[in-house]
Amino acid sequence: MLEPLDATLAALAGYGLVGCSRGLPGAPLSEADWSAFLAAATRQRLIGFLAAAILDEAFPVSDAQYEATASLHTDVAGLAVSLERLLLQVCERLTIEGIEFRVLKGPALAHIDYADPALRSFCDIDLLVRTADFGAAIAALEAAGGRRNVPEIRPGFDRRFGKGATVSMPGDLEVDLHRTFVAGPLGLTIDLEELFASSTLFELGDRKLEGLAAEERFLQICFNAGLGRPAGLHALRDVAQFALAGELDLDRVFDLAHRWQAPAVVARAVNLTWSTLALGDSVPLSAWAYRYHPQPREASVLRAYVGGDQSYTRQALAAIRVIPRRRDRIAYARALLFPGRAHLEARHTSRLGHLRHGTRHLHS
Amino acid sequence: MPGRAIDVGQGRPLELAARWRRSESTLWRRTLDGVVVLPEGALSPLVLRGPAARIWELLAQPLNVAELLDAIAAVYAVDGDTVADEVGWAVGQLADAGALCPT
Repeated sequence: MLEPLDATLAALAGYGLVGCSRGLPGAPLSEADWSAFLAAATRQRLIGFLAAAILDEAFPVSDAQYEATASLHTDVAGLAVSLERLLLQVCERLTIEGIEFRVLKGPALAHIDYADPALRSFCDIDLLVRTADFGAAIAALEAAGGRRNVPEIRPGFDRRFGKGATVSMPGDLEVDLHRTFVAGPLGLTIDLEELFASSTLFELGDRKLEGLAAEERFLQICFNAGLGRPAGLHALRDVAQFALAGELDLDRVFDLAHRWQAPAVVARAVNLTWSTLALGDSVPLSAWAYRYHPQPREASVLRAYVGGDQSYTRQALAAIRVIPRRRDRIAYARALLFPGRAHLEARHTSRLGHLRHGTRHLHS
Repeated sequence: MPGRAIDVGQGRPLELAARWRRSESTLWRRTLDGVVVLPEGALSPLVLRGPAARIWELLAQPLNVAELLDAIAAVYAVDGDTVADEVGWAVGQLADAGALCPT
């Protein structure tokens, strides 16, 4: 049972979905509840849905609440178009450098999977590049005025094991450059080359960009929703948006998920979505997820991400188990145990502090 | 109508017969009370509300200024001459910013 505020947020995340049985309030929230609600809706990136519900007269608000939402929605929209302009500039630069990429998450989902991109807000740009292009892509972003927030843990780590890097760009905007979807074991079992075998085109301004193909896009949002700590409501909405649209090739989804050793992640994301948004209608995907029982090994990997004592250290240990070659396992462990000085300085820690932090997590 | 114009400020005429469309490179979002647009090359987004936001919505298809005046006048239930200055000014500003271009 959710607290009333959380239930209202969940209802908002499910706004417009067929079968969402959570109800929006029948009268304006009290000013005390409204402040907390609006702050949480902003954190959960639900302002677009709030604006839509107000516009449809499905979410009653006072004049002051309307003004506050309109002001926030303008800010969110301003950020979205500014990020999209940055996306176009970055994509142009990557194209000039001959680097193929896929647009991930917010901008791609907003334009491909939602009827109105204003519904799906986002706060950074996520791009996927091939492992072989990762260094060149970082260099291209730096040439455009970007600065990598945290240096590579050790030379060669990004290319072999890394999830990616966050690059701060001019104008206080950020680009998350991905090599894979997540850090740790589940990021190492994805067939990364396959992500570039197909795509979905979308228009942004006067350009056409490529997002992941539908099934890969769905799996990527399942990683977001299923491994979130806690799962963001916008991510759960993304899962529902896909699952209820009925356009996924489920055989392909399950095939990819099995080959990526990620069925448990998909099942968790779908189950969380159905329970949190109180979706009444069962669809083939939700019926499968409800019945799915992870194998012990899958459950163990999942615990490394979402267990009560989840930590980067536990993810690292789980990752070592999926790295096939002994030499690579040693390189991975050495990098994590003895990071480079620049990496530690960026994280404001020392080697000893880093080791203490890791072992403390293991003992807890 | 050809040759007729309205003043968009600073003595600049805007031909009623001129057709306008959204610049394809302009990024934009609908908001609760208007539209946010970011033309290519602009330093920051423009926030459009009221008639200016209506003009943006109406220009989903190219229209000439006279058609825009008629549509806006109908929305606000006023005579076209009443909104001519405001419509002309808004079109001029959006064109100057690069958000609109003549067809």
